[in-house]
Amino acid sequence: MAEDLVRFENVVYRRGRKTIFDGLSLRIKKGQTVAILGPSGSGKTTLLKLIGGQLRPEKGSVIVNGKDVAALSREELFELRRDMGMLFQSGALFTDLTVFENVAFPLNVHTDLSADLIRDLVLIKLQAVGLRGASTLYPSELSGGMLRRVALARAMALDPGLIMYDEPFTGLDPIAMGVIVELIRRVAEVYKTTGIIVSHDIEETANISDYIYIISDGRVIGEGERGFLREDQSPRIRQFMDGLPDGPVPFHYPATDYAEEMLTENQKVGWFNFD
Amino acid sequence: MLTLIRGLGRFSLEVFQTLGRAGRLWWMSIVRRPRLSNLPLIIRQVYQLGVLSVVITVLSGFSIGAVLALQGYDQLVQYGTESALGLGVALVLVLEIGPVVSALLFAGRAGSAVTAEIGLMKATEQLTSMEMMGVDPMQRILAPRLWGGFIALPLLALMFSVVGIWGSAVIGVEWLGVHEGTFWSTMQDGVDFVRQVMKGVIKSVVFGLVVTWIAVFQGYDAIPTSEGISSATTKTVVYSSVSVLVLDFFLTLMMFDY
Repeated sequence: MAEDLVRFENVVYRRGRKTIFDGLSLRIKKGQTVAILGPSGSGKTTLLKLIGGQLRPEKGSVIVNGKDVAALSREELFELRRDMGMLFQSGALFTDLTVFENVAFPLNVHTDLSADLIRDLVLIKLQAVGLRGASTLYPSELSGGMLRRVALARAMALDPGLIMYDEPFTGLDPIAMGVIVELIRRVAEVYKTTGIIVSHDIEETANISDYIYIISDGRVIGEGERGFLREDQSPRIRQFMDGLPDGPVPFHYPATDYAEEMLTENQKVGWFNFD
Repeated sequence: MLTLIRGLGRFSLEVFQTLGRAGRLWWMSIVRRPRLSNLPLIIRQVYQLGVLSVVITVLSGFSIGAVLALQGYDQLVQYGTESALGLGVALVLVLEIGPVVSALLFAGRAGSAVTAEIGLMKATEQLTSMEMMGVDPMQRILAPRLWGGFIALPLLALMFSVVGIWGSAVIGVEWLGVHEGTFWSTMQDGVDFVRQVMKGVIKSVVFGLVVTWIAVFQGYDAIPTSEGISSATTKTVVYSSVSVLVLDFFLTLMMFDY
């Protein structure tokens, strides 16, 4: 049985007064592609930041590759991150560098390889995402889907053991989405890389994942292999899966009584009252 | 009254917290581990912040030198002491106007650009992605800019003074007819390298340090939204300008042993 690459043990994390995670526990096995699904604002991106050590849990621990992330020094953390790749929703490419230079960046910084070898490696990665022809372009000249493909090539540059995908399908047209789905699938198959996909696009994510966690209200509310989503009848999971506007996740933001507020006198809003 | 005290307390806490964060940034990017491998990045920043500011520095320096010559000649000629024009203009430029005005120009051109650049890198997650790649943005992005500004500003200030003196010579000697020999010889006699030029250089070194520190910190500490970046850019220019003028007073006070 494969060992755990990432383990959350009763993680509590608060941002200000808002509790994001309240005793979250989950495990991600080496070589698996795991989906973390959940409604917007459920802390999915926060989860990735906890794995990368950009945030530290208030209680509990996040173990990556056998190391407690919160206990690492800044240098050890940077060392750990060299074996991680992350695909940001925005791509987060360096805007002053070309596509080629962006993909070459981690290789230039972390390896002593010759310029010729780096060139070959970058071209291989760009060929894999279909953008070798765009190597001289700047990020501002690329479409949203292309940006994400370059970002994927950059995340793969050092052949990391773990790649985290933050909302990889959001805002893409069907063709671009199909390309990204296929690329993520291929990365997992060919490189045997562990993948964590954080998303709220259920279909696409579920299709390429080996295991699925659903988080809501700071906890895991359901988990299982691909098929479980269709079978699970708990109201929270049904609401999420069937896209019901109201349910355990309420439609209304917490507020005072509607009738009461409508009957009270108009209050001044901000500095000016436009009466 | 209680609200006032509470507000004052909160404000003081915020000021100290900001100073703490700025100090930490300085420590983490410069003092803790200076790296020789950053040298090419520093040279690039000296180009970005310094070389690209040469045109406005030269234009402003020439204009201010020319104006000083016109104004100075107008006053001096009444007492028949126009021969001291060169000395007066050189002292004013080297000691005061060179370091101060070049620092103000630098804050407006280079400082605001640094803040906006770093703020946008933060807003577009470029700094985060760098961190996630195991590259420390403090070393890679902030440190070269801090060094770049620190090196560039004293050079710009010297350039400003030199061009200013040239501007005053063009107006004073070529146009207003001050004797060329006396113009340059009074300047040579009266301006001492250690006692005057070095004081100006020390000032611009301090200004370089403060202005780039403010610019880099404001960018790094900016709220990553368009409003946040615009406010950070404004703060850079305002805080830098005020700091330069206030520090100029204290530095002058210290260096002249009053």
